[in-house]
Amino acid sequence: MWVLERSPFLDGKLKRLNKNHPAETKAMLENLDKYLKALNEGANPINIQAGWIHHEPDGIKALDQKGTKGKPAQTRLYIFPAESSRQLHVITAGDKSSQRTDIQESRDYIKPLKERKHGKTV
Amino acid sequence: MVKQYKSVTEFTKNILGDTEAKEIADAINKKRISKQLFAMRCKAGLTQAELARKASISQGKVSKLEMAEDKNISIGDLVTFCSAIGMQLEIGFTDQRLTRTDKIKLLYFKLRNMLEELRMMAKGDPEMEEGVAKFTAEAFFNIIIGLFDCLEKAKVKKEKAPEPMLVSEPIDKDNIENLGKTQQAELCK
Repeated sequence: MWVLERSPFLDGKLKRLNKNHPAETKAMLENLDKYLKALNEGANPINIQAGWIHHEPDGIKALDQKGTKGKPAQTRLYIFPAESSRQLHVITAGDKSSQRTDIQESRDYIKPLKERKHGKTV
Repeated sequence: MVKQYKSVTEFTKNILGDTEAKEIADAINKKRISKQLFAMRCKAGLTQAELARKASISQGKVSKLEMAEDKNISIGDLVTFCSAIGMQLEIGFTDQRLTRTDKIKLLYFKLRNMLEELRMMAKGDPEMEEGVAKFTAEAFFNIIIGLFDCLEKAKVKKEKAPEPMLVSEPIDKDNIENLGKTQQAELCK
């Protein structure tokens, strides 16, 4: 079974996003639930594809707010499925304005995880 | 140690609080079928476009089905979706008054009937009869092992309260030597 693990800086980001875009945040978390379900059903992360899943560098995925009614803001929840440990890392969340920083932050966060997997000392 | 979560509801509760977690749980409960469809397609290794081609429907329709609330999905849609990934749609009706223990009993009878059906199917074909006998024995073994594990876990364990004081034998050289001699005698028996 896959488990969710959050980065130390996720709480603040998600709380802020929920304050400004509650419907979008809810939709992203629903999509996270879908993604987790697919992993638990035995789907390979490579095969988990849909319009609301955006593939970022280093295996990072960005889940968007699809499912929100009306004209939603563009928001993203950044995740990383670590296959060897079956941990789904929920790294950060943000809107279009913070996209660049969010991706960089996510890449920095998973770097030691990837190095550990390849046997390098951190 | 970093806390890990098995569900998004639990995860949300910890970060955003009870109200948000309840809202998420309600929303998730309304889309249980579409979530299952999405997971099955991914497990089958198909993209929405590939599934659409197999099912002779549009990719937009696949996307809609995977986002729809359960009440908006028709049986026809489910049959089409399932056929494209080699799955069979099974519909069941259960008496709402059934308890979990009733359901376990029901499963037991179902299992028995299915094994009996298998035996009847094989009747007259020695090769198949042998295969069925082997399978039944294997199933019996696996079920018993599983049930034994459940039984062990279900046992009520009574913790013995630790005694306020424990008086043990004094540890001195003679004691150790005597212990050694007794053990040697046991081994020579």
